[in-house]
Amino acid sequence: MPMTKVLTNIMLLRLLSVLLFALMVMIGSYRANMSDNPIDYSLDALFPKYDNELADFNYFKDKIAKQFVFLVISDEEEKATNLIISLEEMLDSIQGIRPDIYIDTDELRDFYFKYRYVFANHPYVCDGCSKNQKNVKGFKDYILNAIYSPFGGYTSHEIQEDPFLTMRSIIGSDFKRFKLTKLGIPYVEYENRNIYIAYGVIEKDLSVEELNQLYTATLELQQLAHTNMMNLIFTGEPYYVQAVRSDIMLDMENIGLISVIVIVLTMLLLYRGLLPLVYTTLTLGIALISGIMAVVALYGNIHVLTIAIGGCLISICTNYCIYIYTLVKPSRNAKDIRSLLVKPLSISLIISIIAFVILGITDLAVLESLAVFVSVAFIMTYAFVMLFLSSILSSNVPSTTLAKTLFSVLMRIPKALIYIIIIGFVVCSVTVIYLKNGSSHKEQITKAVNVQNLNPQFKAMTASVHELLAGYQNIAYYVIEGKDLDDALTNCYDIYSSLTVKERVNSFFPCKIVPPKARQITKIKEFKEMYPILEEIFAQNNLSIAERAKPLSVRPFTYEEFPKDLSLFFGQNSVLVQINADNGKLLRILEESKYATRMDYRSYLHKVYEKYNRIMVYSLLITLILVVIALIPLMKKQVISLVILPSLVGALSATLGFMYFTPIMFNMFVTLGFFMLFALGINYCIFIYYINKDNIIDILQGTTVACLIIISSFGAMMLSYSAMMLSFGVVVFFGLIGMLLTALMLRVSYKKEEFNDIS
Amino acid sequence: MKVVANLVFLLISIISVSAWAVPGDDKYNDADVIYANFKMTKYIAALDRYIVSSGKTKLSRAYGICWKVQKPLHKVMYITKKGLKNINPGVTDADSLFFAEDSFMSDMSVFFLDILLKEDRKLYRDFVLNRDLKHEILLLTPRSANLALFLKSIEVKYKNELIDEITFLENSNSYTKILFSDLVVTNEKGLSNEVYCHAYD
Repeated sequence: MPMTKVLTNIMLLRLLSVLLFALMVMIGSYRANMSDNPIDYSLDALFPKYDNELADFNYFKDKIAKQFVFLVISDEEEKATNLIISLEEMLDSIQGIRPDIYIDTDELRDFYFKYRYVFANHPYVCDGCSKNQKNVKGFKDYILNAIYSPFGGYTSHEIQEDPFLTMRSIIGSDFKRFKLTKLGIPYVEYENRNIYIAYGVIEKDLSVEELNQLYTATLELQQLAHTNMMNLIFTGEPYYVQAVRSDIMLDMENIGLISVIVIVLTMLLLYRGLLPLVYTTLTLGIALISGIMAVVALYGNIHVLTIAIGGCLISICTNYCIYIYTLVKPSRNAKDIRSLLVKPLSISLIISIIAFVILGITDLAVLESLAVFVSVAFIMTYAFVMLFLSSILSSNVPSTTLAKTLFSVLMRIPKALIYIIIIGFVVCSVTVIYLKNGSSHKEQITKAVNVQNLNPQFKAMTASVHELLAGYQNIAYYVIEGKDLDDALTNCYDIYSSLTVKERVNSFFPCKIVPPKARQITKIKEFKEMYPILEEIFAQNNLSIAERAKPLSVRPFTYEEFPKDLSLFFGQNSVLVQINADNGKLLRILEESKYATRMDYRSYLHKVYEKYNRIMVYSLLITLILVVIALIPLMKKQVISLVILPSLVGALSATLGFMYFTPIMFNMFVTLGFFMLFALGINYCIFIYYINKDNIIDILQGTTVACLIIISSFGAMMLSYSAMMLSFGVVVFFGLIGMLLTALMLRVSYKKEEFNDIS
Repeated sequence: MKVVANLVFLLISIISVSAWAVPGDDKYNDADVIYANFKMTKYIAALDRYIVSSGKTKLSRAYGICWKVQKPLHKVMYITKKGLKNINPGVTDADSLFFAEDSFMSDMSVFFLDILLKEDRKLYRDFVLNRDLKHEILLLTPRSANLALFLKSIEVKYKNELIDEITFLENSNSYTKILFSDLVVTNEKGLSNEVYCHAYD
């Protein structure tokens, strides 16, 4: 059935569209009410869904994300303690966060004491040591030193309970490094200042309010610390999430403000009345509500970035209104307007939807929902414009000054100059892009994952926290696997025992705290072997050993028995190891181990994004080819001059703009930007194709005004803190200018004889 | 008695050992060497036992403490800022045992060195210092809880600005008391680590 006839059943269609809109709003509202967080701010949604080969990958990733650390740098213990108490109260006040600040020394001490023969490294205790005379002599010297040394010899307790002095070796050199306040707050000394340490653990997902409360309260405490001559630094994913959220909110405000100003000015100046402004606002409202409700109805919630980008994209919906305003004339009725618009607007709608639906293939939650958002918003706008707006609009006669000025400029461009401009631009751009791309190709690939600029302040604080706590800024995580957890611990211990002291200092291996079962049994056996010699030395000095101090009835333990929560480091059949990422030798040792796999989320994402990027580039090319093929019967030879050439110029403009106007390098979202560029640009090309001497001013007016609004929206996106939005903005902004000007020059300037008789 | 220091660091044992040395003051010249005899009494309260030893010692800022036990057994211990090691006849310095594994003994040795050298600036980091100038007494109380588990206090008595008596008091009322006598301060140049304690008779 022809489209025009379908539209004659206008009442039925109106009813259907209203029902559809109402249904979406109802389902969306219902699901939003049922959801704990109808607006999602998580960072996960920005990354592809992944199915990592490491069974415990997600477990460890989740655990790491739920830890956060606070460091109070102060000269005065009392002030620092008060600040940490305030910090504890703040964390306690947020449901779902557990402060982890004080060390229960008694519990920890009792545990280590119970398993001291497992943990201790004694210089003279080993398998077969009791048969080595030199070793036995050394052992005797060691014990006699402890008896007769004036400083640091046996304490009364040790002589009764710990004659092997095991606890001292357990404490090791860290004794100098980590200390405890009287309240049990751990601290380290650094450059003559004390650094007090506090941890927090997220035990359930935080709501937006809780996240905001945590963020605001922490910043207030940071200010308080500053006022009291202290410094509070902190790190943890919740702060990054909140920073991203704040950036997005700021983006939305900026972009929204600029778009609104442009739309208001356009409507008032060019369409000379408040009514077009009211109708445009109404159209945008319908588009926004439809998009949000469709996504919420389908997914149960909507990501804030979907709203932000979607909000920009639906400014395309103003284009639909502008075509109507431009076509409204006293001589035309609603049916005439619909007839004039149905073909180009329908083709435009279909092309837009195809382009945006392809976003769904990315498997990125944000883009998947964006595809739904935009498609539904466009369809509902199309329905509103065609079914309602075309009928209710009064006959405003728009100002055509802009169109006439543009027409006049286009008519003055000589044909030869068009060749020079287009060919010159293409040749220069290709050369520049080739040269620049060749010199920085590697950097572009490595930064393909750069989707969100992390807040530099938090990045610096994270590096400081790592430096102060671990002694190094860049941390790399490795997962060491085994057939089961004990096997993983064995593999971990094999690597750990091969490390030098310096390498151990630059790493944290959980098998040091919880050795594998076999290792524990061996250690106990070694102390049992040396015990008779110890007993003999004691007897010679008239000392006796209490029964409970003998290493005779000790059994191995598991990590669950440890008095602190170690689950961060222990998975089902693997353990998490942390190392200094700048230590090349450590990295090499772990890379060469067949049991260790780097848990490099960025590197993993990089691979995933590369894969998706390839898919998207192919999809983009296929979509372009399909669109061109579909347009050939309609536009015939003009498809080259009005679609292919402008697309090429647009792509080159976008690439040049991206190279010179963004601090970031190529990423997947640039490809997505190209999708949007072509979806929008080809729409304008189709309208430009329909130019003839009767409608040239109308179409020039409609197309340029529509394009102006879009360009301003995407131009505003260039102010964004988000690499994703910046990429979209730059590509569409520069690309669209290139495409539109090329299409207009080729349609109007190149065929100016068709329009010579227009005054 | 609470002997075992807190082990939080084992949870986060990814840490490098920071440099310990701090520039000292100039009460003694590098070439000054203090010679003394000592008598040490270690009282173990739980066993109600006394372990007594005696011998001689020498001390210098540059070379540390040479501690020579003569009764009830012969034993030479050498304390530097790195810690403590045994000096055995015929054994080279390189083969001597460093108590690097026993950080408590090493730390206590360094505290002892700092006390004898009156390195208040260094001691202040780990102890609250109360000095009774009239009676020439210095009382040191550990600042950190984990050190306090080992040690309740250290009391140092001076006579004419020279060390006279040190008492290390544990929480259980056990203690180690060292009495010094026959102190002589000399100025010796051209010493080396190798001969400072190895050649001490």
